[in-house]
Amino acid sequence: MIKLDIEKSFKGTSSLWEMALSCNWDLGRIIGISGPSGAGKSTLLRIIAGLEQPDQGHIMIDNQVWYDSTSSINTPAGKRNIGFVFQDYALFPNMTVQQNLLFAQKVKDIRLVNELIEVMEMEAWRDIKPQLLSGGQQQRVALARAIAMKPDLLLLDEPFSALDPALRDRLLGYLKMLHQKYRMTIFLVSHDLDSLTKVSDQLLFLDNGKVTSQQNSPFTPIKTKRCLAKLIKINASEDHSAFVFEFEGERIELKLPANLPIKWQIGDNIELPYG
Amino acid sequence: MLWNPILLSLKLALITTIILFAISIPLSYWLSKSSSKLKPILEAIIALPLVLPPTVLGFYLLLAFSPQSSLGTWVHSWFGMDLLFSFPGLVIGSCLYSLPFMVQPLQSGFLSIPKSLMEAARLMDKDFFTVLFRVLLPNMKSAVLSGLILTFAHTMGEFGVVLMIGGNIPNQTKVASIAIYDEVESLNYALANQYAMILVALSFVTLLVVYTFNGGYFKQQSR
Repeated sequence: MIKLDIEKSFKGTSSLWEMALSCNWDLGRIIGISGPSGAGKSTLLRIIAGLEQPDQGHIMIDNQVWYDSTSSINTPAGKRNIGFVFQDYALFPNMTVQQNLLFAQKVKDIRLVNELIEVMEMEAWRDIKPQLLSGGQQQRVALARAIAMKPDLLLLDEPFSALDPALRDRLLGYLKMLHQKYRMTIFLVSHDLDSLTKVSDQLLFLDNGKVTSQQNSPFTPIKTKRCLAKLIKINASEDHSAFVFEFEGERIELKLPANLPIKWQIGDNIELPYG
Repeated sequence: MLWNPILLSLKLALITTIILFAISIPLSYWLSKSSSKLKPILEAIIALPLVLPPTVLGFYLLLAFSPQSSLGTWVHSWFGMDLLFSFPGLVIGSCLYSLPFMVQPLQSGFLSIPKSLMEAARLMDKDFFTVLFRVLLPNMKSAVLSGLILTFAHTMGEFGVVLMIGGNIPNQTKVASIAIYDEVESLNYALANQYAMILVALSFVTLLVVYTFNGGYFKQQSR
């Protein structure tokens, strides 16, 4: 469980901006955060990461205190085991893609680096420096680098803002797949509600430093039952593959990005979230 | 005989550049990050040699290094040497005189590194020296190169400070620029010309290196 109860204020040009948040989240989920510009979304991520300090309050993760103003505890950012995907990607320009991933690791694990490069289809640019890559490619490297750290928490700050819809969906597919594979808690900040609802288990809406709404995503209910559904049809298009399942006489359609390495075949019984 | 002043100038420039590089890294890093009220005062002091006549700096160093001064007395009693009219004194004078030529490009270089790179390294739990040598310095190569070359070239051409605190002692303080002055005083224009040509060639090559490597410092200054 992540428990966060914080207050922070900033002096603006004409007024005082105050943030006051009190939230609890289960571990292992994807939490989507949205809200207008200046709502405090990025600040919340930076406070969780330890890059900024609240004025008062506490942050606990899995019974470990990361920040407590009353007992002056503030775990340094480097000790929180957090993967952070910055808006500008923050890839080290002097290092190749592989070197960026290896540098991020506290204990070098070339096997994981190779796996991430393969899973995220980055083999062709393994030895290329980031400046030579497109925005979408850099985004994938930044995501892979954050995961190469084997983080407990993965924080993504507006990662899809500069991407076209097709590329955005592709990266959302990667994110979902990586989340299922490595089971980490993900905080995803985005203006794009459509993207958030596609991947998030919970949605948090902020405005002016306060939570205005907190709800479960309509697409992935919190208390998920699982069922074995039979794949009866695949409708493939350029961007998406629509998988049609049947369970107890009911049809369930699951749309996924076309390029995900899914090897389901008609007639397979697949475990799906249900309810 | 011809090459001794040139070699002494090269030795002085090399030692000064190495010392200033080591001193200027922490100093310029602090200046690039700090919002202290002391920062503008320190920046003004560092930049003073850019605007002061070298003889003014040389005059105060002459007073400070003299055996009657407390610094001169302390250095003599602890290290058994005099700073005045000696090579170590020239090194100290050169370091003070060329300090802005190293600090300012490095400070611009540190400022050019995006904050997020530092934060990413912080989240990876990297210590300061790892960040400095693996992330910061490799990503500000043009600033480092500008600092090294400018300091080296500026020290090579130093005259006023050297004349005030070093004098004209062969193999100790008679650097190339002093040798030119000395030969002109003796009306030996041919030898003066040879020294001058060598200095022109060296200065041209060093500046050519900076511009060839797209010197970030000059580029930033001209924006």
